Amino acid sequence: MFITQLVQQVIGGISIGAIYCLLALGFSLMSRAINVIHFAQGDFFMLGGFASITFYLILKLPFWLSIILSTLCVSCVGIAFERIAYKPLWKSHHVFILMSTAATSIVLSNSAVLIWGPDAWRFPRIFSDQVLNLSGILIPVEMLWISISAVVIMILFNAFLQKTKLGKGFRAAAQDREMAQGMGVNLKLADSFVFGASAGLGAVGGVLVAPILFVTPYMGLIYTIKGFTAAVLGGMGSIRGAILGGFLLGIMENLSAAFISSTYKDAIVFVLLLLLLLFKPSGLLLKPTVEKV
Amino acid sequence: MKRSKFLVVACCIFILGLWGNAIPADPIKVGMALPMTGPGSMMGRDMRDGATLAADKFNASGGLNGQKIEIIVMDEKNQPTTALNVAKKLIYQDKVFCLGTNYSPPSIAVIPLTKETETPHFISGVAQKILEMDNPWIFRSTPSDKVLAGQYVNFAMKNLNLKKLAILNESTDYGKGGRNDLIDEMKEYNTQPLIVESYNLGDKDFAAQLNKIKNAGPDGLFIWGLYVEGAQIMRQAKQLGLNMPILASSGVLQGAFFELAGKDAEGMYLETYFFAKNSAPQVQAFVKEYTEKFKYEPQPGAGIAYDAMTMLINGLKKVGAPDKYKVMKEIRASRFNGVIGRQECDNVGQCGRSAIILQVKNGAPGVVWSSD
Repeated sequence: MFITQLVQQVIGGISIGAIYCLLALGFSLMSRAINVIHFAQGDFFMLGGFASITFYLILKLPFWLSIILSTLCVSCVGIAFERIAYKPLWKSHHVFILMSTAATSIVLSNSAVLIWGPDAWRFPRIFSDQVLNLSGILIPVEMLWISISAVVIMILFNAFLQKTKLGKGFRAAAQDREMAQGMGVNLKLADSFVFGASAGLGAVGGVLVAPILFVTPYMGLIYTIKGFTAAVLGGMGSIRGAILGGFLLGIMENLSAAFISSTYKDAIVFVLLLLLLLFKPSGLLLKPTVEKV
Repeated sequence: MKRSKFLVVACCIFILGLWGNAIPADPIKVGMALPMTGPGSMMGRDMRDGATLAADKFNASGGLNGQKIEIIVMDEKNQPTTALNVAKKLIYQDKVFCLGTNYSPPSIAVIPLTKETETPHFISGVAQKILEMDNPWIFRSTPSDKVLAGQYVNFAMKNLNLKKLAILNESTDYGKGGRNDLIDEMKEYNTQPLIVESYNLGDKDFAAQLNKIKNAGPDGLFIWGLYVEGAQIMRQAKQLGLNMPILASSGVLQGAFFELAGKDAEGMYLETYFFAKNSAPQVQAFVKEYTEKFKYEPQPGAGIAYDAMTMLINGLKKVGAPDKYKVMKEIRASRFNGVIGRQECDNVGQCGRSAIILQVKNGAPGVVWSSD
């Protein structure tokens, strides 16, 4: 009985964890490439949800097309903000870019209120209503769809970075800008890619999750915090770390709620994070790096 | 030359004086600190529109000897600190005659202010705690949660014969208050809840709590929170196979709950004080006027504000002037059948007395129990 409960909670954690992975990936990407923690990451997630509502519900396009269009549109918004809000602050102190991302978050969430209203929107059911029953353990089919889709997207994205010329170029730019430029990598394109991809990953998460959650304009903040926590857990800047962190966060949340206290589940997770950072500040998967002066 | 100049000035002053009297007196301002954005924003809209309907009717019939009611709405995002700031602005800057607040947590934050500034204050939040804060200026058209929770437990144990009850509550003053009221009433039956879990306002995933509850094996589940989380909980409860009767509090039946929950609401119980299909004549008249004016059907929040404004307006009419001490006395003496049930104010400002329990069958809610 206890084992069944444990497994059920872990499976629930993996389901929600897949979403956290997508967010964490966006964070890690940003952090690795341009050393910025993007406070508006969760708001791109929210925009992805609303974009898919607009394309699917309002414009009545097929769902697969809505996913693609939503991701593209939100990626463009991400690139636009890079040009307007972050690029001009490039030469100044780090902190200003950070503040700018916080401002972006405010702009995005309030724009969402102006465009779609302050209330929750319901996305029609896309995935099947069915729930699989494996000897007492219940797995909603839609959670399966979402988790698998998220994992597939992450694998494809990783393959792009590792195997394609363009992807390798972007990774080079993330490691050493001057050298990469010297080798012919287009830095402007690389920067746009980072922002576009982060926003896009966030958006894809939002689109996948819209059919199972209610999309509200202020949901960005919670997901920014979750994505950030997951990225830090696995190691900020590491792609694999983001994926591990995402799933681990989902599982930790569910187990804390189930076996310790549901009221304090968020607090427990943060305490665990603090403890982890005390002993392994670079996160679980990264080796501690020393900043060269 | 001097004399004619003096005459001109005197005439001007005389004319201005006449003109001054012809300008209608300052409007009677009613400030409303409502959640227009954030979690629970639909109830903010409902309360604003319900109050506006009452005020517009009053103004159209001439107001208080020509003095009209002006409603000023400000957004407090359902956050106690924002609500306090907004209330201060409305009271100190806009000098409102009466203040209105919505949910319990922001209302509780504002009560000390209206007590200190002696401002008439109507509240929709149902937490019992509100009545224990010793403010002689408050009046509440919604029934107390203590009464709502009590009647719900009676219904669950006597009408539905449930014995092992679980509670899932929001971690705010509203949710905790409701949980405490439920537990208190269960003590009357010499029992206690089988399992109690909670969640935070704004949470999106309830699988952990629901699985825990399911494992404990209750035969009924109370949900005490607001509508967005309520809809999501119903959805996940159905998925995770929680098939026992689910009884949701009045906070769940607000805004677009039925739209959000869809067929996941089937079979659930909801407690409220306002039901649009209620055949009582004042309810039907209200629903008709509201739908014509705002082009959508009224929700409980609209009825709450409408009855509160009715009490204020009746008080103003009885006294004949915006004298807050006399008007408050009249408000606290209110006795009438409002849109959300019987209104009879007691000495702590609790006016609302009625409760209705609905059940959703074949997609539509129907009354299964009523206190009147």
